[in-house]
Amino acid sequence: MIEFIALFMGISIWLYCLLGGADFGAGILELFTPKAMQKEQRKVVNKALSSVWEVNHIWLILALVICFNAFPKVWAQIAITFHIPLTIMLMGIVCRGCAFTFRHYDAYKDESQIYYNRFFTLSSLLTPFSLGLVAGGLILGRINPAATSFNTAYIAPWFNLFSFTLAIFLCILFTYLASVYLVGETSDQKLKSFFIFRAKRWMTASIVVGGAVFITGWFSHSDLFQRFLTSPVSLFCVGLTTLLLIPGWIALNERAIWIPRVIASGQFTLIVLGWYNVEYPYLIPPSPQFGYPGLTLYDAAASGAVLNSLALALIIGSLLIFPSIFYLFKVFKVRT
Amino acid sequence: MIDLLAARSQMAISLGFHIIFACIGMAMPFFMSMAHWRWLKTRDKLYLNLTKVWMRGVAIFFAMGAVSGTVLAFELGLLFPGFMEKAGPVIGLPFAWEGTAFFLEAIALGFYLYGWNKINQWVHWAAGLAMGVFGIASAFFVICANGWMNSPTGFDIVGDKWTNIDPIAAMFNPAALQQGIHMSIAAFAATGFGVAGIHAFLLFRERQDRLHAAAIRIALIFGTTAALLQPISGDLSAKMVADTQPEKFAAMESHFKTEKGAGLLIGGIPLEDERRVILGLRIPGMLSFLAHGDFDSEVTGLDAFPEEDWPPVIVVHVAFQVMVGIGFLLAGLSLLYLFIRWKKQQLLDHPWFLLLLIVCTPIGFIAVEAGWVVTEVGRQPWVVYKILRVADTVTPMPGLWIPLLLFTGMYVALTAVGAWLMARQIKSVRGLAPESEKDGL
Repeated sequence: MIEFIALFMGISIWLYCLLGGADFGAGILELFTPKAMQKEQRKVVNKALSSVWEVNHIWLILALVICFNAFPKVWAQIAITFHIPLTIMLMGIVCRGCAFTFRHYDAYKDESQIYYNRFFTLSSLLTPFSLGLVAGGLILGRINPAATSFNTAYIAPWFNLFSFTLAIFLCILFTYLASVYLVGETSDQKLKSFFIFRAKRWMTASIVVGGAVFITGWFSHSDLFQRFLTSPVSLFCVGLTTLLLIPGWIALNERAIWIPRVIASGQFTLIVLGWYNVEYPYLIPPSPQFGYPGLTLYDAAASGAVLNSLALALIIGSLLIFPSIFYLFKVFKVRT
Repeated sequence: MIDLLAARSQMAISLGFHIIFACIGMAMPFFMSMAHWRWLKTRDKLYLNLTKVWMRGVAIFFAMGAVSGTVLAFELGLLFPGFMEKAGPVIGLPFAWEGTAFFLEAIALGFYLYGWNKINQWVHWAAGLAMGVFGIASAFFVICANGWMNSPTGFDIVGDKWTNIDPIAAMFNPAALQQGIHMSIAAFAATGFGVAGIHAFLLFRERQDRLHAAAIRIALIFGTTAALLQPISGDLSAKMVADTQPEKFAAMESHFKTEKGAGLLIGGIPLEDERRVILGLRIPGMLSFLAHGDFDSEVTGLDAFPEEDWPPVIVVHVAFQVMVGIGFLLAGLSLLYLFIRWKKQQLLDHPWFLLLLIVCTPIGFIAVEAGWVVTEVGRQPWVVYKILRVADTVTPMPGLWIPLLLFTGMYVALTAVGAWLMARQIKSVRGLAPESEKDGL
């Protein structure tokens, strides 16, 4: 049962990144778009996101609820150690959601749009970046519950080269996903070429920064990272992700819509899978240098009655949610 | 100590901000659906315009409610990890259901906002209604969790371990139903009179615009029904509080001394140190009657509890008086409105009546905020009543005044921008007179 629930949490995080992440990516993309193209791009982004963005972001809430319900100790530990980046992330979520809605629904389209756009793009970058810092900190395993100084308890676990590199990597991946998704959201050939060009550029960036993630991970002596390099499944995931870059590139050049989308989200999925694989069964990896044993999903699990009731809620919830989301995407996302 | 105060203030500000949007997000889809229904039935363009005006409001408030709700869900753990570690498994179930309901609400919103002319018109209409239904459902589930903090059930404590957790018993705790009903009705009363007030202002300015008259009529169908039901729900809630949390009940009424045939205090300022109340009006025996249905029954006073377990009496008392006062005011206004509609139709757009509605625009929301102060401050010093103290659950992280300042600044700014946006929306509605063919969106 506990594996089933952990799987559900994993799926929520994965879907949040794949769908919500691409929403952030669209904002980051806009941040780097030349002024001349911004207006047209914004139109496409608004059209692509407005019907689904709220849904995309609920996956995060679901993952959170599963975490504090089924693995209360894990959430308490994360909430204490990563208080600062999580707080920044929350402010980013609020600013981004409000700015996006304001710019869409403001009764008058005047110079106030400039400020909405600025808030939207900056918080689109800040939010996944903070999320990346938390993820980096979790992978690195520098949690020290016995820490006595502010720095070692609340800063050092996430304020380090590896976490920052990973945070940048995550933002790049999200932007890559967004560019690839957006190619199919416009029929304007000029814009299409623009998104294809961007997608290739962000793909290139992801190769460079992805390499940097490996290098910084290697030098930070992270236990988990060494396991990553010795696990056949994770290595397979990374290898396949890298190989898929070639057909992805070719398909983009061919101006295909669905193949690059499938490949890009497939690549992202493989990276997440590789990560889950080495992490398992830990939810918070041990920090040997601080004598912290970590928390596996078995140590942290709530009691049977809690898990059963949660599982039932998740199953019934999925039966309601998945078909309706499927229908929502079908109506608004699949052009005939 | 300063960190504890900062954490509590941050939680209070976040909740105070979120609750406004949650109320509107819960009630307004129903107003919108009724306008939409009339459009589908009568094909009077006026109702289409009204539907679209309200739809934009729903979209803005839903988004702000969604993001501020996300903040709250995280803050429970960020500020009070000790609480979530213990209570997470016990009350996680209503949160999981809330997540499901909220998910469905967001999906319905997607269909509704962008489904015009894309899906079957009745399916589209139903999506709008579904938003409201799922909105109420998610509010109900969250309030189950809050009710549990007031009347914790569904687990045993052995040593410092919580065992035998029964999430279903915890979800259906004694406070859940009354609190859920009271809050839902409050949302309709506050939003109903709030929306009616705004349209009264617009009608006041442009007396010919039938759109606003129609808007007031629809909003007040919900507003008056809710305002007239609320005293009944309030009475049931008060009885529940008197049974489950006598300290809170005593603080609400500034009832210092346990006594039989206790009088109901109206207004007044409690002097906590002197254990007495000044400037209040007392109705003999009434408090006993309201609490236990018998004029001679005994009502437990604050003297029955150690002073360190008292909530801040003056805050709870004043908030309670404000809430009840506004509740009766809105109920009275509802009766007046119904009378006018029944007997004196020509007074409906009389400037004085419109002014009355305009003045009452924000008061329902003030009552909602006051009600949450009663619930939350009235439970102090406990986070889980009689089980877990707030002070024992706060995060060990120091410097919590910094996030407090950041969030306060952000919410103040957003409130200002939100008000400004509303003003711009209102300004733009002028162009939507029924003869105008311009589309609402």
